[in-house]
Amino acid sequence: MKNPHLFRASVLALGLTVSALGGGHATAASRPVVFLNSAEPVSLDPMFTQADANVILSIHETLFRLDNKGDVVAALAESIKMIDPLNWEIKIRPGLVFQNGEPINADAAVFTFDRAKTLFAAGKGDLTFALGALKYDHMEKVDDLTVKLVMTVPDPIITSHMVNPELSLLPPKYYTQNPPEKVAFAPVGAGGYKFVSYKPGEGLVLKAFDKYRTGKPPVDDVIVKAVPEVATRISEIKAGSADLMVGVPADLKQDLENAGAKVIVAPSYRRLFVAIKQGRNPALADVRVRQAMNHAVNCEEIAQVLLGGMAKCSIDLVNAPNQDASLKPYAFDPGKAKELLTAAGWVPGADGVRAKDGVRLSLNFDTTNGSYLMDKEIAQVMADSWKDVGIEIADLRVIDNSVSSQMRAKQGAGYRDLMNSSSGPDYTCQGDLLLVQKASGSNRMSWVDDKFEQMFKAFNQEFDQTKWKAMCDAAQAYVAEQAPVVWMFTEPTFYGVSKRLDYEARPDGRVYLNLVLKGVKD
Amino acid sequence: MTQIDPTSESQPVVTAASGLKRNSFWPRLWRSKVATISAIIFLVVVIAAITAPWLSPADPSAIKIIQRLKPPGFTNSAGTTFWLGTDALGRDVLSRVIFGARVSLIVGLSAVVISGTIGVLVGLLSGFFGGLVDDIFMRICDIQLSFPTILLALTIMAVLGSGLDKLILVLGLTGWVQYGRIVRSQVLALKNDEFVLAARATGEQRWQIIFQHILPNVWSPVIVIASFTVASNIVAEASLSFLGVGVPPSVPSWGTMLADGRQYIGVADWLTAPAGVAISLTVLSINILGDWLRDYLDPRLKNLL
Repeated sequence: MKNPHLFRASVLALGLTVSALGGGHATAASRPVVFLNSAEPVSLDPMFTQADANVILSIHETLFRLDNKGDVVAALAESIKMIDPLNWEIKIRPGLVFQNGEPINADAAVFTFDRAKTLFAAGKGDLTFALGALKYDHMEKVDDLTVKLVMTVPDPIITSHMVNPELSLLPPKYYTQNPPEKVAFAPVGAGGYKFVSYKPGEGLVLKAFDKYRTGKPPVDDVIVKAVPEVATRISEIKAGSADLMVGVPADLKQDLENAGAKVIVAPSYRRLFVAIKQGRNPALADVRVRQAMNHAVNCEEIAQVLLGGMAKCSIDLVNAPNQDASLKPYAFDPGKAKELLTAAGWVPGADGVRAKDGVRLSLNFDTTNGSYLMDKEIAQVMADSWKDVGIEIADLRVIDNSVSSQMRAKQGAGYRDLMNSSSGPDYTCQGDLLLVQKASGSNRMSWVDDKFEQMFKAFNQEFDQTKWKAMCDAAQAYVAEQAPVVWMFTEPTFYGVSKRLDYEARPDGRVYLNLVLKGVKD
Repeated sequence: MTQIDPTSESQPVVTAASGLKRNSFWPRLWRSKVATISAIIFLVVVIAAITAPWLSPADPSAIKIIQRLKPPGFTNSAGTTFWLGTDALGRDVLSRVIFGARVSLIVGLSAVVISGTIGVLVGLLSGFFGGLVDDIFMRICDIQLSFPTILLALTIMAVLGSGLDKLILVLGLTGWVQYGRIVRSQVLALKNDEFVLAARATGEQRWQIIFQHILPNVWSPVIVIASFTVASNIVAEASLSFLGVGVPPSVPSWGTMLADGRQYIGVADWLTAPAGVAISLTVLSINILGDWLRDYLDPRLKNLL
């Protein structure tokens, strides 16, 4: 070497360049994906919350689950066979383990289904919805990888009911040896992500599980943080301190894109409505009052103006393809609303608010702020619309998203007369109809109708699929007319996604991390 | 035994009320340019609050989403001009700012009346009677002071729910301590003064001594504290409403305007700027006026103003 200084300088420069590149890569690769959720988890024990399905089904896994297209696929189960209408044989995939190394086998399945039954019988947990849908008597072990599920009633859509996160398989040793208060926030499951730590305010730290049944998820580290305010979530995405949020308002799509983030607008099957609570205000027991409330709201204007034309107003009790497309939503007709209210005996008072027998038609409305697209704003518009026909919203209360999650988990306990709510798709008509079924955990308005119950019972036990369409349409038409809710729309989902994140949206709007995070480009 | 002459010059004769009546008040206010400007700003806010229904160009709660997020100066098809634009629900921002003044002042002044009444009573009784009464009241003060006011208010509001009346009550019940402490210290200084001893000697009832002789002489610091508390109550109302536990979303308030507008700050800054300016100017003007009032009522600074 003629010039040793030049050689040394070159080596040094090369070393610095390599270390800089390598270091940069290491730093970038070690940066976790940050997902901003709207509320802190109620629990990470799948049997104790319905509200945290996104994180529950990222940590845990069920026998069957919905893939990204909405199809029911075998997950921990390998196959299912009907022995007779009340007995089903389920085979479990061989060679799978939980995140703590316990084997996934028939013992784990029996333990899980027994635990759910025991908790439900003791009035513990949040199992009303799951066990209201899947009516089983018990599960028994056939061999190490085979179980028999014994039902109490025939159920033609049993696999659809087994996708519910509450029935995620649990490792028996871990959940037997540890007290409930420990497992509530230190879960062990069979899902794509292992629990690392959780502190309210700081977030839930997850790590990819390398023995996950379909292989290690493409993103190694994820932090799920609760940020209730939409504005704060947007600021964090813009600042680059977070990678994923749900619920970007249509107005701010461009703003977020201008800041270098992506906004993915995906159609979803999440149905939005305002639940009308029964049992509090007698006025709401009258179908004419409920129909009037539907006629008074200009859903089309809300969908077009507030949601940028992305939502479609419909009576969407049942999702496509089972939805009866010929069912027309309630027309915006304040005149008709007034007629119905007058016919029901509610006449306008001096201040425009209707009254009957000296009682004002005055209701309370609970809304979230940031749980759904423009939820607080839509609630105010609806309150204004009802005022125009003589229905007073005495108190429009904005409730915290975490509180709302807990209220929903308790079948609407704590809500007052009206509450904004939503329902995800079940992909079966029978499952979607549970929204208004008496014993279902998703009937948060306590609406009970004997005629509907008879229709539902007959439908739910019908194995002849050729009859399903007619039964589904009849039930939809009847519920639409009864108006147990103020029908709104199926809303699209607006995801705010950082440039580095590769994301695949699901039609149910769920953020199951192992299925939707497709990689990070650092 | 000390002889007390009721007509002695040592008896305080200058009360705050009489002080305010002094001929020098307006000339001395006028002499301070900053105080004068502040007084004018505050007066404008008060007039806006009182005349809001007549002054506002539109109904502040009238929702018309078809004309949402329109910039200042927008004129709709009916020929109505929205001088400060419209918000996310198509409501007139100017009208909401004007009505917001009403909420701010109602909360600020009403809460001061509640906290002032409680605090003055506690201070009078605690200072005058001393002993066990004083100990009990002062320990209550200590307990109250150990909770951050805004946190306490937030907790109570979260339990009671939102509403103007509840907000006033909460701020009133959480803000009395400083009145109590100041009044108590004043009473301790006054209760052995000759005019009080004279009243005692003439056989006056305790309540007469407290309310007729001592109370008029503690008004000066109370008025000064009240002026500052009005400002802090306005900020507290805005903060609680901003956090979503103040007034309901349909009630036009500067705090809710800030909360509603902040997600649009990058695309529609006219939603937050007017409310922010209104809060800043109002609070600043009240604080400056309070500062001037404190100096004005302080006899040591009498000749400096």
